[in-house]
Amino acid sequence: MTAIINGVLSGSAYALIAVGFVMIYKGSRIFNLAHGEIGAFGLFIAWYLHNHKVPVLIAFVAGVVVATLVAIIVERTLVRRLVDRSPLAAVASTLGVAFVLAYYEFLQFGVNIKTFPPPFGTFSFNIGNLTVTSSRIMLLVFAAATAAGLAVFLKRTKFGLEVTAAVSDKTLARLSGIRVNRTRMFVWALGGATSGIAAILIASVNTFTPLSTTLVLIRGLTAALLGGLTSITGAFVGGIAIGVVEALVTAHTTVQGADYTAVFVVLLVALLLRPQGIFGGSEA
Amino acid sequence: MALKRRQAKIGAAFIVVAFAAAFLSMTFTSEYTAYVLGTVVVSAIAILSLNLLMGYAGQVSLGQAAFVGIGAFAAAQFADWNVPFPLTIILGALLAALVAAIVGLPSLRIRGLQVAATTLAFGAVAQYFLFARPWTTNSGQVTVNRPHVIATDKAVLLTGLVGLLVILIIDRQIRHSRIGRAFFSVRDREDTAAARGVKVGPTKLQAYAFSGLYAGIAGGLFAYLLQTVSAPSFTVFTSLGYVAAVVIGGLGSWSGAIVSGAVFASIQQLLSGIARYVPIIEAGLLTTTPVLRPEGLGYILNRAVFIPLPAFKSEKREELELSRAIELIAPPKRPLSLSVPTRSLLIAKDVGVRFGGLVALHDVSMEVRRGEIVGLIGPNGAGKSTFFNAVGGFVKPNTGSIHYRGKDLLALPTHARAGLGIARTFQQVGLSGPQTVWENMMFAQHQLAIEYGLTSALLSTPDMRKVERQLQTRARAALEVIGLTDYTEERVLNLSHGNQRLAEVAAAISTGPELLMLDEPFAGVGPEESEQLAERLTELRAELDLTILVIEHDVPLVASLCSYIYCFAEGGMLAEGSPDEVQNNPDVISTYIGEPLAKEAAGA
Repeated sequence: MTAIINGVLSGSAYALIAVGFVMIYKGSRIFNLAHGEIGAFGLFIAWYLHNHKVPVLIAFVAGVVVATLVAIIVERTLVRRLVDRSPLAAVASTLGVAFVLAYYEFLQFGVNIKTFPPPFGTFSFNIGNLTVTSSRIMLLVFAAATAAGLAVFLKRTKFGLEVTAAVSDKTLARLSGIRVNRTRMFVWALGGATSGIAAILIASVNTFTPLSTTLVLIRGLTAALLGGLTSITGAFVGGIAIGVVEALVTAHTTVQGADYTAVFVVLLVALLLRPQGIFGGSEA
Repeated sequence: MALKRRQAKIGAAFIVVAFAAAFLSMTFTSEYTAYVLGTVVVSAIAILSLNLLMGYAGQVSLGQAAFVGIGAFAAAQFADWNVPFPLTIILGALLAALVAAIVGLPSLRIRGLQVAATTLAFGAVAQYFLFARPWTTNSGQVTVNRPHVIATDKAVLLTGLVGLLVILIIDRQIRHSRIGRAFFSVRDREDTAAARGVKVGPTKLQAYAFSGLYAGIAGGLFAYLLQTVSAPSFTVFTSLGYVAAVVIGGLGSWSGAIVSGAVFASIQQLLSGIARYVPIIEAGLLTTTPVLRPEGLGYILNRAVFIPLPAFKSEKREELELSRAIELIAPPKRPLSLSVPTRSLLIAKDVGVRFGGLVALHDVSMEVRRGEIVGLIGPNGAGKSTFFNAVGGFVKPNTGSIHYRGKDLLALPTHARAGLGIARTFQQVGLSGPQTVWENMMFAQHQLAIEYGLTSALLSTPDMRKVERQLQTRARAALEVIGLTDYTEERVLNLSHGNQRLAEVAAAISTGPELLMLDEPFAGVGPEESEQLAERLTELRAELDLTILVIEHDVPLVASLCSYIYCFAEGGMLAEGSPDEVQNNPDVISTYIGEPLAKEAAGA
C-alpha cells in the first residue's frame, strides 16, 4: 500500500512532464525531445539564483519563466520554420536543443550532485512509514490541476478548440481566422512552463545533476505514449501508472534497472495490444 | 543518366583509393594511431547503421547504442565461450539484428515518432539493466581477450576496415536493389508502397534487422578494440550522438554519415583540448543543420568529391519508337490463372463502407469489362476515392464483395493485390518527393522485382542484374510513352503538379498492369498534355488490351475517353451507362453537371 502511494506521488512527476509533452504534441504535432531539458534549464537558473541569496519561491518563479521563454524561442526559431517542411527535421532539431542545454549545464555547473530546497515550505507528514514532503504533494497538485485545467481548456474554450483545429487542417484553420503560429507558440509556452515546474519540484524531492533530467523525460515520454499521445487525461493516468509500476517493482526487488525494464515491457505490450494507447482513439 | 553513372564510378574509385591508402599506410602507423583510427571506423559503422534505419527506411531510433552494445557484449561472451574470432563478431551482430527486429515490432502498429519513443525506452533498459548486468558479480565489466591473429591494435583496425568495406558493399547493394527501394517507398508513402506490392510491416522489420546487424558489427569490433566492455560506453547519450551525426551528415547520405562520424570521433580522440566541447558543437550543428542545410554534409560532399565532369561526348539518348515503347511495357508473365482471358475483370457487388457513423459508400455495384476504359464521376465526397481504396485494400467494406478475375479481393492483404496486375494512382500524388522520377519508376516496379531474393540482391547475382535491366527498360519505355523523358533525373518535388501526376501514371503503367486505376490523373495537367495523355491511354488500351478505371471531374474529357461511365453521389450510385446516357440523365445533370455544361457537352 505504501508502495502504491509512493508510486502515485513519484508518478505525478512523470504525469506533469507527460501532460506538457502531450500538450505540445497536440498543438504542433511535434515531439519535443528538448521538453525535459527546457525545464532543467529553468531549474539550473533557479538553483543559481537561490545560491545567490534569492528567496526560494522567487527563484522558482524565475526558473519557470526562463523555461517558458526558452520554449518560446525554440518554437519561434526552429519549429516554426521546420514543422511544415519536415517534421522529422524539426524533431531532430529539438534533440539538438536538448543536447545544447544539457551540455551547457554540464560545462557551466559541473557534474556535482546538487540539491534545491522545496519552494513551498518544508512541512511533511507520514503515511505509515512513508514521509511525504511538501514538494511531492505539490507535484501531485500541479499535475492534477494542469491536467484538469488543460482538458477543460481544450474542450470548452474557443481558444482551446482553435489549438486542436490548427493542427488538423492548417489551411482551413488559417482561412477560418485561426492564427496557427500563435496557437502553436502558446502551447509551447505552456509546455515550457509545466516542464519548468516539474523539473524544479522533482529536484527538490531528489538530488539532481545536469544529465538526470533526461531520464525523467524518458518516463514522461513513455507515459505520454501509454496514454495515447493526444489525450491529456491519458498522459496523466499514464504517468501515475508508470510511477506505481516502478514503485511496486522496486519494493519487491533490489535488482538495478528492473524498474526501467518493467516500464519498457509494460509499454511494449500496451502498444502491441492497443496501439492507440489507453486513452487514445477519440482523436485519430 | 550518363552523368550519374560517371559520378557513381568516381565515387567507387574514390572508395577504392581510400581503402588502398588505408591498408598501405598500415605499415607506417603506430599502435596508438591504429587505435584512434579503430574508434573512428567503429563509430562510422555505428552511424551507417542508424543512417540505414532513419535515412533509408524513415524509422527513427533513439536507442541505437543499445544495439552496438548488444553486439559488443555478445562478442565478448562468445569469445569467453571459446568461439573462434571472426565468428564471435558475426554471431553478436546476428543477435543484435534479432533484438533490433523485436524492438522494431511496435512499428507494425504505430508510426514514426511513437516508435522513436519506444527505442529510447529500450536504450534506457539496455543501459541500466542489460549492460549493467545486475545478475553478475563482476560490476558489469567484461574483459575481452584478443586471439593471436588480431593481437595488435593494427590488426584490429585492419579487421575494422574490412568490416567497413563489407558494410559499404552491403549498403550499396541494398540501395540499388528492391530491398532498399522498398525502404525508401515505405519511408515516403506507406500506402503507395503497399499498392505496389511492398509488404510494409516486414519491410520495416527488415530495416531494423539490417540496422541491428551493422550496429552489432560495430559493437563486436569495439569489444576487440577496447578489450573491455561496460555499460557506460553505450548510453542513451551515445545514441543521441549517433542521431546528431546522421542528421549532420544528411539523412540517407552514407558518405555524409561516415564523414560526420569520423570527424567527430577523431576530434574527440586527437584534440583533447577541445574534446569536451565536441558534444556541444555537435548539438549546435544538429539544431541548425535542418534549418540551414537540410541535405547535410552529404550534399556538400557530393558537390566536392563527385565533381560533375563535363560530358565529353554529347549525351546521346536513343529515342525509343513509341510503338516499341508500348510493346516494352506489355504485362509481364503472370501465373496461368491470371492470364486466361476473361470478360469481366472487376466485379463489385453491393459494396458499403462506413467510417464510424458516417456512410461513405452504400450499395455500390459495378462491373469493369476487360479492355474497356471506364469513367467514375461524381461530386466531391461522392465516395469515388473510397471505392478505389476499397479495391486497393486501404479500407475494408462493411458489406458487399469485390472480385477480380473471380478472386475475392477482400480476402487478400493490400500488398497482394499488386501481384494480380492492378496498379493505381492516388488522389494525392503517391510518389516519393525527395527522390528522382527515375528512382520512383524503379520503386513502382517492386512487384516485378520480387523475382529475386535477398541473397541475390546482396550478391548481385546475374539473375538479379537481369531483372534489374528489365525494370530499367520498362521504366524508360513508360517515361517515353507518357512523354516525361526530359524529367528523368529531376526530383519529383521539383516537378509541376501536372507533371507529378503524369510521372505517377508512368510509374503505374511501367508495371505492365492489366487493370489501371487512375484517381484524377488530369488534375493540374495542362490542356495539351491532357489531350496527349488521353490519346496515349487509348493507344495503350488498344495495343496492350489494358483496362482502365478512371476518376475524373472533366465530364467532356471522360465522355470522349470512356466507353462506360458510373456516376456516384453521396456514397451511392446515381447513374450508369454510355457517356451519352449518363450525360443526359436528369439526375446527373441536376446533382453534378448542371444545366449549361450539359448543353455544352451535348453540343460538343
